[in-house]
Amino acid sequence: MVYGVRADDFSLGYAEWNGRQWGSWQSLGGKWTSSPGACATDVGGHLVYCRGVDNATYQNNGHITHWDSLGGAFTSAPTAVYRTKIFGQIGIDVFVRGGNYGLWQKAYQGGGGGSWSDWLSVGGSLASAPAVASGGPALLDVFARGNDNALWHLNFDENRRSWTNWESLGGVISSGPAAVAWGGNAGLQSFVQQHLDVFVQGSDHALWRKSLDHGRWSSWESLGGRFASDPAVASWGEGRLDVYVVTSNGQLWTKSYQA
Amino acid sequence: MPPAKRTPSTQHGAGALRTGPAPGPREEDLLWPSRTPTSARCRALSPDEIASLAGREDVGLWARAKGRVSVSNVRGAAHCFPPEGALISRRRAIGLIGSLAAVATVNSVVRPAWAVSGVGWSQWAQVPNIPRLTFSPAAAAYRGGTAGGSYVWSME
Repeated sequence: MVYGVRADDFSLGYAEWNGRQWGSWQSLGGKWTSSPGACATDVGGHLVYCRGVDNATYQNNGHITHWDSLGGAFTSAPTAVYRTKIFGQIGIDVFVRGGNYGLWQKAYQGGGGGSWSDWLSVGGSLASAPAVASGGPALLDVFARGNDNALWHLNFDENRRSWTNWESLGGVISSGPAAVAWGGNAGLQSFVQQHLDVFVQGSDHALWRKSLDHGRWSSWESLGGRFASDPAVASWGEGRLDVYVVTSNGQLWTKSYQA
Repeated sequence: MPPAKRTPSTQHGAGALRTGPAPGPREEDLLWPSRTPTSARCRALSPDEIASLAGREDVGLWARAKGRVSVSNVRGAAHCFPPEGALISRRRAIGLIGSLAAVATVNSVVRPAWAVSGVGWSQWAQVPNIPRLTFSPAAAAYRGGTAGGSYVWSME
C-alpha cells in the first residue's frame, strides 16, 4: 500500500526494538517501488526483500546496503519466510503477486552452498500482496486478500509436495494480510503447526486478527485503531507478538501481545 | 479470490471457533518482559487496587523492587526479588501482592497501564523518532539474550 509520495523518494530504513527501548531509525537507502518484506534467520540475522524500479525482487541481509536481484517482474511487495530443516538445511521461500495477479514463489534450498529455484507460478488471483508464515520446517501458509475482499488461505506441505486448494477465511478486508506462526518452535524444529495469527485492516480501517490454534480458526477479533497500511507482525517467542501499522499521516504504531 | 488453477475448498473451518479465555502465565514461566515498564507507562497501584488484585486468578503482575521493599521467597531466596520488569507467575504474583499489601509501600508495585490482566494485548503506542513513512511496514523477530523484540522496516 503506497500513498502520496514520488516513487524516487522511497528509501528503506529500519528501527530496532530490543525489548527495552527503540534504537534510532537507520536508513538503508535505495529506490523502491513496494513495501518491504522481511524474515528472521535462525542465527539472529534478517533478510529483507523489496521490489525495485524494474519490478524485480531484491534481497538484502537487513543491515547493509548491498542488494541481490532475484529477478522477475511483479505487481506487489514480496513476503518471505525462513525455515530450518533437518540435517542442517535451510529453506527461504519468497512469494509475490505476478503480472497475472497470480501467486509466484521462489525458493532457496540447502545450506551455505544452496541455490535458488526459478520463479514458479502457484496460481490464484490476488487482490493484495501475499503474506506467508511457516508453522514447521515442511509447512507454508500463504494468505492474501481475494477479489471478493475476503481473506484467502493456501497451505503447502513439503513432505507431501502438495498445495491445498484456496480456502476463504471470510471477512471484508481493506489491506493485504500479515501472518506469523509460533508455538512448538514454529519455523524451526517442529513438524506440527501450532499456532498461526493473521492480521488485516478491516473495512473500518481498524486492525483485525484471526488465529489458527491447533487446526481451528477463531472468529475475527478487532484490535482497534485506524490505519492506512498493510500490517506487519513479528513473533520472538511463544505467544509474543509485535504488530505494526502506519497511519494516514505516516506514523508508525505498534501493539504487543502476550499469550 | 477465485483461483485460476484450483477449485476453492469448501472446508472453511470457520465454524470451529476457539472458545474460552487465553491461558495465563504458566507456573514455570518467569519471563523477562518484552517491554520493560517505563515511567510513562507505569503508575503506582493504590491500596484499594492492590487489595482488589489479591486472590485474582487471572493476574500476571509486573513488579519491581523499589526503596526498602524486601520480599522473601519470591524466587526462593530473599535477594531474588523479581528484577525490574520481570513478569512473575500468577501464583507468585498473588503471593507477592499479599506480602506487599502487608509490608510495603504502595509505590513498590507498578504495572504498565496495558498489563491490567497480565496477558493479552497492550494499548496502541506510536513508535518514537520515526520519519514519515510512505509504505506498509515489515517486521521480523529480534532475539537478544533472554529478551526479545522486533525489527521493523519501511520506506521514508
